[in-house]
Amino acid sequence: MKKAKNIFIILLFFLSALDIDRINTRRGYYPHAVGRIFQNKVTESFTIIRKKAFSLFYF
Amino acid sequence: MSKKIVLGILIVVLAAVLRLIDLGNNPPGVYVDEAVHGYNAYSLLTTGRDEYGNPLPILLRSFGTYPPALYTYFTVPVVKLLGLNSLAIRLPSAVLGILLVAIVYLWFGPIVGLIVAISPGFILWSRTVSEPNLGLTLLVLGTFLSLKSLPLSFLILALSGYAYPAQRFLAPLTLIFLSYHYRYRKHWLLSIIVATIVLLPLVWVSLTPGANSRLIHLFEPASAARLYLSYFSPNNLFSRPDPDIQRSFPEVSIFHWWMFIPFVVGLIKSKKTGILKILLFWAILAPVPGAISGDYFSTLRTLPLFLVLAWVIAKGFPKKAIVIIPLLVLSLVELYSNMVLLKHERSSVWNYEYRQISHFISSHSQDQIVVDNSRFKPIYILWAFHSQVSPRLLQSRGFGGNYYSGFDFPDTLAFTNLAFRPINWREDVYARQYLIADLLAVSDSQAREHFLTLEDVITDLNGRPVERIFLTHPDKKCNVPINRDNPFCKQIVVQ
Repeated sequence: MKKAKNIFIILLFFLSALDIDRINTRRGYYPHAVGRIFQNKVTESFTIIRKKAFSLFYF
Repeated sequence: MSKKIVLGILIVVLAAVLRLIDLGNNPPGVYVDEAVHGYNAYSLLTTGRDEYGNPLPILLRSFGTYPPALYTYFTVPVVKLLGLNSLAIRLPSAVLGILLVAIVYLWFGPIVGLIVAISPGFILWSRTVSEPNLGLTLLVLGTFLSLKSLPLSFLILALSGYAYPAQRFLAPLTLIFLSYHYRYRKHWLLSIIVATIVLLPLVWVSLTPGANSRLIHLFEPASAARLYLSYFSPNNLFSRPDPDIQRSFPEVSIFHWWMFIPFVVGLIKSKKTGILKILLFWAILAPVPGAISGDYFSTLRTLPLFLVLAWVIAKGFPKKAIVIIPLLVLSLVELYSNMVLLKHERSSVWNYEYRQISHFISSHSQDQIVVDNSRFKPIYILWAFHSQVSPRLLQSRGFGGNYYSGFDFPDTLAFTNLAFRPINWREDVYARQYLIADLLAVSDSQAREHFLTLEDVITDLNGRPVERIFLTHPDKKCNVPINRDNPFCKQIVVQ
């Protein structure tokens, strides 16, 4: 339970660093019905986390 | 029909869909390197000579560098069939990309075929005019055919040397490797003779100053070791795109992020089972041209390496439908997103606006026009491409003595009523003409100071202004007392 709480806090930390304007701008590129699927806080957070994780495997 | 054939067809069809869908419009616009091949194909088709008037070049003179002309020859029949447009010039690359998937499937099996079919890097290289993609496909085809027919294999491998500068390094070395490997095989000597004859013109042209102009310009051995390693960095391969935004999708690199896990498993398995010698040979040598070029992680110069890495990923890939299908769906969803972002966020990178500018120039054939090329000297080729300018007009420039020794690319290219050059503020505002320039070239205060009126705004795909078209008013400019003694004003009747 404590572990899950920590993960949630870390996720919130990344969510707080989200660029909402960028998400909204990008959402406009997609057809209206599908924009929210591809551009939302969860997918953007995942991209940020993924980039940070891969930056550890860098040379 | 056996299960293997059905699987092969499905993978090739998937590769074809990902490479052909909306091919002419995504990437939007046409990059200058693409326009060079397209326009020269058009020029060769209509006049038998390239844009400088040289018949059947081995390398194309292009903005002071010399890219190989082999891709141009592949484009000629497609331009004949479909006309000069973005779809026609990209189609050979897309077909080569699909062919690569088919060869890889036949040679290494379905999983490697699938990895190559759905990896973002391989898709983007196939969706654009890409000399390296041609080089890679010929390299793989030639090596694969060595299992069947050595003379044909060596012929294709020798041809691959003509496809891309990095291939001038890798193709002869692969030929030497295979010559040694198959030294007791039938037709061995004949194959070597065939390859040597085919390579002779390339050897000759490689000794000319033009062939090495780009290499000399880029050559930077000091940081080669660090740059060599960058091609094996997981961050670069699975997450961080090529630093050159014209060579990548937004947000993704060559492989999908999740492929990192099978990549690690594949590395461990490969250590136990070993790796094909030719793949190991490519993995070691392919990054060398990229490493000595001085650019960090320049993917196009090292394409064969990524095929080897796809093989490693496939080695660690679980061969169960329950794993493959969700990952395939996830990849396709991500690819759709990448294509949307590429179209909208990179339209200016792909010169989307120059189609409109070319249209404006064509519709003002009686007016004087100056197109500012301060930041982007080669833009004339985009006008020639989009307007299908008569090749004889460009050929009238000639190429002087030796075609393969002209490094100079002048700032100015002028025709009767049209000039591509930086704006000359001392003179241009005293003649009645249109000035086409980006937002940095002409500020609002400059426009006011010189009495320029805004005639049109050229936007990118998202409607953001990227270029503006102004009309000069020399009468108003000369009406300002301080300008009345200007020699250019003396020719104008001041109202």
